[in-house]
Parts: sequence; C-alpha cells; structure tokens
Amino acid sequence: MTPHKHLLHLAFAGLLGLAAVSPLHAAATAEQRQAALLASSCANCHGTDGKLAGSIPAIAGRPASVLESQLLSFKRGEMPHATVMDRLARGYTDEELAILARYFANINR
Amino acid sequence: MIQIHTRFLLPLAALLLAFLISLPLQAASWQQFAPVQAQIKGTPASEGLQLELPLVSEDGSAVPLSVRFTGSLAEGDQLESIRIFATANPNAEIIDFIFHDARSLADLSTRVRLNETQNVIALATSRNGRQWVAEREVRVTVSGCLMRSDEQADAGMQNPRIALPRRLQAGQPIEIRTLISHPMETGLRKAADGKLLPQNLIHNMVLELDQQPVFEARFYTGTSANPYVRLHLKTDQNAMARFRWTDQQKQQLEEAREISLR
Amino acid sequence: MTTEQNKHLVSRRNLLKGAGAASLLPLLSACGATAISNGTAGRVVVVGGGFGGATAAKYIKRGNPAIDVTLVEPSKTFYTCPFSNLVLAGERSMDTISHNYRELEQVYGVRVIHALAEDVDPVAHTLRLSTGRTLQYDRLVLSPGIDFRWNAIEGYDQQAAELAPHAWKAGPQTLLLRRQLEAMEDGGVYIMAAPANPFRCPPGPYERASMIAHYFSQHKPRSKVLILDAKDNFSKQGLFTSAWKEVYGDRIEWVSLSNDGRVVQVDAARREVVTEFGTRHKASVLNVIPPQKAGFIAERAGVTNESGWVPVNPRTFESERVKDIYVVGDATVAAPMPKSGFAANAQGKVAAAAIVASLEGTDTADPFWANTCYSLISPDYGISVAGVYRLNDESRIIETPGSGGVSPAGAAASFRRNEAAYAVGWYNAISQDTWGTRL
Repeated sequence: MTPHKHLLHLAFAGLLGLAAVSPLHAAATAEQRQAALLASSCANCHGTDGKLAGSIPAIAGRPASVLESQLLSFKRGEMPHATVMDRLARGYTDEELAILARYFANINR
Repeated sequence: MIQIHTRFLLPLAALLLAFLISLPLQAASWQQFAPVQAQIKGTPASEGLQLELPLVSEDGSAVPLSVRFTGSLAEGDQLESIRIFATANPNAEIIDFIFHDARSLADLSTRVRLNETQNVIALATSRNGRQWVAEREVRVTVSGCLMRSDEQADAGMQNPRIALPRRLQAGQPIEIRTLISHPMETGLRKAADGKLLPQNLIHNMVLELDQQPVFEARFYTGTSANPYVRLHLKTDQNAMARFRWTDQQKQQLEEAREISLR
Repeated sequence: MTTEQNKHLVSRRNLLKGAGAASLLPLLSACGATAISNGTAGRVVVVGGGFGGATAAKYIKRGNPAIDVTLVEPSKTFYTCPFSNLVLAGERSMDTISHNYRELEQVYGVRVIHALAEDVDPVAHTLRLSTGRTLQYDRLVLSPGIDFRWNAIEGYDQQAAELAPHAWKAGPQTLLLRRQLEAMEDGGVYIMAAPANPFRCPPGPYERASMIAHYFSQHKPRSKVLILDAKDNFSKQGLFTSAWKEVYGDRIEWVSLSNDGRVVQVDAARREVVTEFGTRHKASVLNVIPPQKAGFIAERAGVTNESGWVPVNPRTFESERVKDIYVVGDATVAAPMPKSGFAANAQGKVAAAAIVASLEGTDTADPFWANTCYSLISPDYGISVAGVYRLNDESRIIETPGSGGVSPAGAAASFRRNEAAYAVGWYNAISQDTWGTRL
C-alpha cells in the first residue's frame, strides 16, 4: 500500500468516526492482517475481537502469557474441564497459538 | 493516464495467457492404468459411454454412480459387459455389469466405495470386441460433520428388496431397483483389537427371466455395503423374474417377481 | 497454491510495484472492463444477510472503512436456522432467533437495501434488484444460502410445503411446523424425510428429531419420531444414537438408506410418503427436508457447476468461474468444511480479507477457518463436532491433521450439560459477531 493511500484511509476512518470500530485498519501491516484473519474464527464463540463474556469467557485484553499458556494446555490435553477448546487448539502450531495470544492481548476490552 | 495504462496492456495479456496455459490439463488416466490396460484390445472409443458420479462426495463409503451406453453397435453385435474401475482404491475392481442377453439394457446405477480422491473408469465391451471407455474424477472429502457408523463385519445376506414400477409396458424400458443388506467386508479393515477383519463379500446377483440368465452384477471390494443396483429391462413377453444373490461362501438368497405387461 | 500460480502472482506483484500499484490494479482486476469508481476505495455489493453475507459486509468495513459496502437482503428481520429446532420444541420464541441490520448500518456504515437480487451481469459488473434498481460493483459477494429442488421427490413442491413443511429455512415454515406439532394428538407419529449429502447443516435433522422427542416426552408422551433417511451415515451418528437411547428410550426410530429409508414420493395432503422400495408411511405431522442446491442468484450469476453448487478458489472464496464474484456459505463447495452457519461466518471473513487486499493491491493473507457445530439432544444435553481448516500445498482445504472431532463417547452428564451451555454461548457470540445482536 502506498503511504498516500494509507493516509487517505486514516482520514476516511476519522471522518466517519470509524477508527474506534476498526482497530485493525488503523495500522494494518501484512503481519497484523494475517494475525487478524487467523484470529477471526475465535469471534464465533468469543464475540467480535474476543470481547463477549457469557458462558464462554471473553479473551480480549488478557495477558499474552496467560492466554498462550492456556492455549498450549488445551492443545496438550492438560486443561481440566475442556470440552471443545482442546479439539480446536490441536489445529494450530505452537507459533500460531502464540500469535493468537498476542493478538487478543493487544485488544482493549 | 490512459497512455500509462496501455503501456502495460501487452505484458498483462501475456501474463493472462501464461496463466491460462498453466491450468492443469486433465490427462486420461485409463491409458496409464494397468488393470484397465489389461482389458483393452485395440483403441476404445471415447464417445458412447456416459459415466456419472458427483464431482465431490462427502461420504466415500457410498458414492452414487450411473453408467449408460449411448453408442451405436454394428448389426448383430450386442453389449457384453461394462466394468467399473477405481484408480486409487486398494483393489481396482468396483463392480461388473454383464449383459447375458439383449433384454437387459446398459443403463445402470449403483453405489461405490472410493477410498480417496481419484478417477473412476468405465469400460464397455461388445461381443464383437468393440470397446468404449469413460472416466470421471471424484473428490472425496469426509465432511467435518460426518462420522462413519460401525458395520457388522460378519453379518450374512438379509432383506433382499426389489422395486418394480406399478405399470409395465411391453417394449418400454422397465426400471428395476434391487437392494440387499450385507456388510461387504473388504478384508482390508482392522477391528478395534488390530486384527484384520476377514473378507466377507457377496459374489454376484443374477437376474433370470423364465430360467434364462439375462443380467448379472459382480461385486468387489469397491462395491458399497448393502449392494444396490438399479437396472433396466426391455421385453415383450410376460415372465417370472428371479433375482439370486450368491456370497463367497456359496450361500444364496432369491427373490422373484412376476413381470406382467399391460 | 501451486508453484506455477505462485510464480505468476509474484511476477504480477513485481509488475504492480514497478507501475504504481494504485493506477494499474483496476485494469488488472477487470481486464480493463471497469475501473474502480473514483473517490472511494472500491464498491462492494453483498447479496444475502445471513451468516456469510452479514459477516462479509461487516469485516470488509472493519478491514477498510473507505470501501463502499451495500448489503442487499429482502427481509428486515433474519431468522437463523441454528436454534430454530428449539423453537419447534417450544423452548424458545422466534424473537430469540431474530436479527436485524442496524449495527451494520449505524456502526459500520453499510448501506442496506431491502430488495431481492434478481440478476447479475458479470461483464458490466452490475446487479439488478427486484425494485428495478441496478447496482454497480467492483467486487460482488454472494451469500445466497440454499434453494430447494422442488419435485426432486415426486409430489413435493412449494404448495406441498404449505401442508408438509420443510422448515429448513427459518421463518414462517418454522412456525407452521411448530403449530402442527402443537395441534398433533398424543400418540401421533412425526415423520421426517432427511436428504442425501450435501445439504445445509449436516447434524440439523438429528438435532431436530431430538428436540421434537424432547417436546413429546414433556407434552405428548405416547408420540413417536420416525426419521426416513436417504443416507446410511450421518453427522455425529454414534453420539446421537447412544444419546437417543439414553434420553428417549425407543421414542426415535431411524431408518437408513439401506433399510429402505429414502423417500421417493410425497402425498402432502394425506401426509403419506412412499420409500424407494415401496414402503408406505403415514404421519401425523410430516416434515420433508428436500434435496438442495445453491440459492437462485448464484445460478443467475453463472457461478454454479453441474452439481448446482458453487466451486470457489479456497484461498479467497472468489468464484472459480466468474471473476470478481465471491461466494460464501452453504452455496459453496467447501468440503471438508460443512454447510454450517459457523463455516459461513468464517468464510465471510476470508472473503472480506481477500476483497480488501485485492482492492488495495496488497497480498492476500493465508486463510484459516474453524467450525464448531453444537447439537442439542435436550436443553441440558449438548454434543459438538469441531474442525480447524487450512490450505494444503495443493491449495485445497483440509482439516488440520490431529485437530477437531466429536465430543467423547460416554462422557459424564456434567460434560453434556457444559456443552449445552456452550451451545447457548456460541449462539450469542456468533449472533453478536454477525449482526451485532445482544442476546
């Protein structure tokens, strides 16, 4: 993306007051977009950006180290009372789980 | 602006062309597939045999298959068999349809087992030795929401079923559906204890009209459990139709239906 | 992606860098037929406001708010198929499975037009609406869901569905079936004709049978559920059949394809069906789930293949057949991913990311999808199947080896209760993520 285009987007976002609902776009490097796409399926149970709390807990804004160790525990089958997260966590490499943990840690609740 | 654009039109066209050329061409795999090659004498025709299978199947244990002969035969010649092969199953044979006389028509359906994504080949042969070939690729994916049930490996033949149309007309194709319960154990599957389950197959189903064999289906490991065959007859005489299944242990089961034409 | 295609992408990217990406991109994307409209970052029209379409619209806006996004959806209220089986059982009202488009309009700035999409001109890049209006697009997203193959079962057409409902699109059909179940005398038989693969929501028919058995056990204890199936295997079969025995005894009977379960003829007025080998069944309430295909507009757009479904490039969910048209949800051939609301939502996000990248001229991120399908045996007995999907080296969608699978057999009652609670949590979360609904 050219710098010019990027600025234009920021201007648009500001103009429409959309910056707040678009944390992703504010500084969307290729890496961040990749992380966002990897993380996007999590929203189906944890709400958009992992912010919804209910019978399934919110995951946004929790420390990356905590999220990462929980995800790894799910993956290794060491998490007590796991139902579906163990089956899902096994679908990602350790590195991908670390990316997911950092992604949700960086979202403000 | 327009000039800038046109400067790149040529390389773009070249790119597009390169992309199109790179698209994979479907090679006819029957030419390289030994079990089919062993059956071929001369050059089979590629038109005249219609093979239908779904492009994608979410359950490889029972993939619907239809085959129909639409080619033309020389005076006095008649179709002898249509054999179906799988290119990537543990055994190539799926099912054979044999036309013992011209009253059985080459318009058939069944359900087959496909281990993985592969090509399915149909080979038709006439009594004079003419041949036709057809081939289809099937992508096999077990859907994320599907799970296989356990079949009873050692069960015998049960519940033969025949369905005939309500009205049968002389000289018109009569659609007949047949079904029998049987696990069609391949001999390749392991039980929970790691031991191979012994092979247990139905060998064939023969249809006779007044004691005359008219049609036969030979079953193999590639035939789905509970073999299903939909076939067509054309006759202008009333007859007693007997359907007889014989398994590998020579056990037999028979069902009879009267063909009474209007 | 094959190496061959990779090479081309790389060379295309290099070319773009050399030429000034912004000016060249429109030309490349549409072979010069249309250029992206001036003043915006591109125009996207989304057809269908279900799980796939609403999600795609929202996530395109999240990806780049400057992209002009229009959602075309006939209804102002959308009823989900997920949890509609609870409505059939009288456990929920229609309100609790209804969603609207206010968040998309007011928070994300999506223009919502309530009309039916009637035709697509892929060369002119236009979509014609039932109102007579024509919309221009740079990228089109179709999330058309399913349509029924009327008369594929003899005697089952749209009129028959008013007597023997399918209830396989939630809304009036759900209420019709609910009213019939309520009016049914105790001791009656509810018969469901279940379709062959592929069809919307593989475990759906069996969850429905469970929820109706639950309703019967509470209110009509002498009544039975009979499933006549065009398949020999079904989703989560082991879990369903053992749970049925455990919870409902012999209330639910399942007749497989190989036991003459396939319904070939329906007499809706008499509520009678005939199976392939001539068995006749009479129902007190008859529910026929007919064979299906991609929603009508997909056919009009020319994106369907001979199977009636839509083949897509799995990396982007762009149609394999027509450029600049992206298709998501039940209409697509995305196996091994199932035709589920969860999968449609996940596909909507992959398509959204690909569209944002293609309009901006940046690289498309590697796609990932997940799926979790919960099914309720009773309101406090849940089971699930999960999967994580990615592309393999040949650019085909695969389930990540070692991942996913169904809930364990023989789990404790507390495990089943937890999964039932998570099913509700899932429904609330996906409703929030897709439509912004706060339940």
